[in-house]
Amino acid sequence: MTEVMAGEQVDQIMNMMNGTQGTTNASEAGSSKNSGQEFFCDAKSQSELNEFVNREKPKLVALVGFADYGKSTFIGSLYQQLIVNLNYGGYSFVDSDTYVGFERRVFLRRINDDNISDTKRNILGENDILVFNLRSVQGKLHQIIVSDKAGETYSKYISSDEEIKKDIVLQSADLILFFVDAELDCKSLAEHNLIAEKYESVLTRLKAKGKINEGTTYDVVFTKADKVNTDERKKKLAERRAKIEQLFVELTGTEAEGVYEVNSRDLNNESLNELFAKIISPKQPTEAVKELDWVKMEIEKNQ
Amino acid sequence: MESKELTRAINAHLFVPIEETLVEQLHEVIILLTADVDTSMIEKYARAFFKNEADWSFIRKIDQKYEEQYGKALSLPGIAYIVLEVYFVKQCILSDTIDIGLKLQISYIVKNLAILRKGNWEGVMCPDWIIKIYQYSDIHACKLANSSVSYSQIIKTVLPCSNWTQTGLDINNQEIFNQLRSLSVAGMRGRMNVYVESNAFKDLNNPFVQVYILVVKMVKEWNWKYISSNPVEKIRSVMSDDCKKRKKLSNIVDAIREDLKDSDIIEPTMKSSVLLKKIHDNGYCGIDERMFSVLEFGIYLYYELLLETYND
Repeated sequence: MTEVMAGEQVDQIMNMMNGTQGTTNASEAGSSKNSGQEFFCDAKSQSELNEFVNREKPKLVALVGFADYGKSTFIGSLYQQLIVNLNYGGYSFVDSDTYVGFERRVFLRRINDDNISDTKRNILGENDILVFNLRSVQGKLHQIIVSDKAGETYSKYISSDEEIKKDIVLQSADLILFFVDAELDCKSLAEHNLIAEKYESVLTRLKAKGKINEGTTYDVVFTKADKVNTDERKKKLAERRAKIEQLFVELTGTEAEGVYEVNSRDLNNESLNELFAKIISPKQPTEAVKELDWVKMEIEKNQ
Repeated sequence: MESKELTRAINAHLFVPIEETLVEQLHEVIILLTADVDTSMIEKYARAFFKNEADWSFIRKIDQKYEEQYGKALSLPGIAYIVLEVYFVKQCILSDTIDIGLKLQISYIVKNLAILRKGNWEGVMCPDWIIKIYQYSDIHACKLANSSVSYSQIIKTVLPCSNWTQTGLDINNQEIFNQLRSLSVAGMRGRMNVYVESNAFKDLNNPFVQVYILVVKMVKEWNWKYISSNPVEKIRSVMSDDCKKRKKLSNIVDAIREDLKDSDIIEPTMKSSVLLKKIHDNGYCGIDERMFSVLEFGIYLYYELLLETYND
């Protein structure tokens, strides 16, 4: 299968899935889909987020990164881990309102050859909200919401206040994962600088618009770590990783909670599974306000 | 101003904020609904919000009233109804039109049902409002137990006489009344002291049984709410070192039911009397495995009994 054929085949499949057979332009496919041809159980839009708030606000994880940085492959792999393993990290997958959104990501991840990534995972404008319904070994249910936007969205943030204004996810996210393509980062200094510049532009604007606050909890995820497979590349990555980490500290005002180098295609990758475990763990409940325990307060008052 | 507080409270739990106009309308709906409040409503709503749920009858009421007022259907995320539920109870406490006695009962109901979260206080919604609801009865309790005055004058005057006319005291005199009141309080304290020193009390082996009987008498016989706004001090001084002994609720109740005659076991009328109901029928109450100290048990029981007196 040639590169061109693989790309054409995927476009055709995408168009069929979007109900726009015959359309060759992926963006057109996206816009036809957005004009009402959604699949049942597809990814949801940000405007539908409140539907998932029932007795409590679920944990929201935002995947942030430019096109082809590996966000959708990453989340597709998490979905696969949960589907395949009855008990994954102490949790079992119960259900999802967005099966099709996940399946699409897993499908595209599978169909792309190792060296080909000419088809964007997500189409610009496509819904980005994915939901996991999980159950702990103790039987407690919880939901995790993940936002996996097309990478071009973040590129648009560099130049468009309108696009930033539409974003509801980032300011509400309990955890933001900033993705960096490790292979690209250690390809050349120019590529590294470009990554840094793009993030600097985006985060500066997001901060200015109040979409990212001081103290935002985030991790930095270097994807495609398997491509960093020579000593020289590993050395370059180590240097540039430190610079990228420092850049995020300066831009967000806080240190990353974790920095991970992952290979999303290797489901045995330790770093990957560590990060997955973090994502699927339930949100910590708000701290107890001690005055609620009025009996204890009375006892303490009378000691 | 209040609707801004409600806006903040609701939107803190949502991803997509709801508009302030809608919140203002919801505030108006809540105020209208407070006109029909009764204790059984509060019992249902408080039980629900302590479980982080919204009672179905509350949701229906809000939806119906909103449609009645504004001519369109209401559609809110589930969590917004829970916030509104707590807000409704808070507004009842703040209302100028609701009777003080009813407001007091509302405060006690919420305090009593808080037992359902014992040992599990994380994630309770709108804690600041719930604390405000608690505080209403704390403030009022202080007003009931007036500070005492010296009654020595009235004793010296009344004891040598055989009827009121001989005393020469004016029954309409407020100072005389205050002295009489203080004398009554002293009398009750005296009766209590006699009882707790008696063999009838001391021979009760189980401290949880002792504290049960003690608080029943404090509420029903000695009218402790008029004597002191602080039952904790008295329970602690009577039960002394036994205060800290702890047991699981199911075991506490088994022991009480075994040691007491049927006539001593009170049948509660309020649904917020979780402990009294458990003692009465030993049904599952959701907190059967929770640990209680003697003092904690006594305090919760005291306030359940206190609320029951409103229905006597």
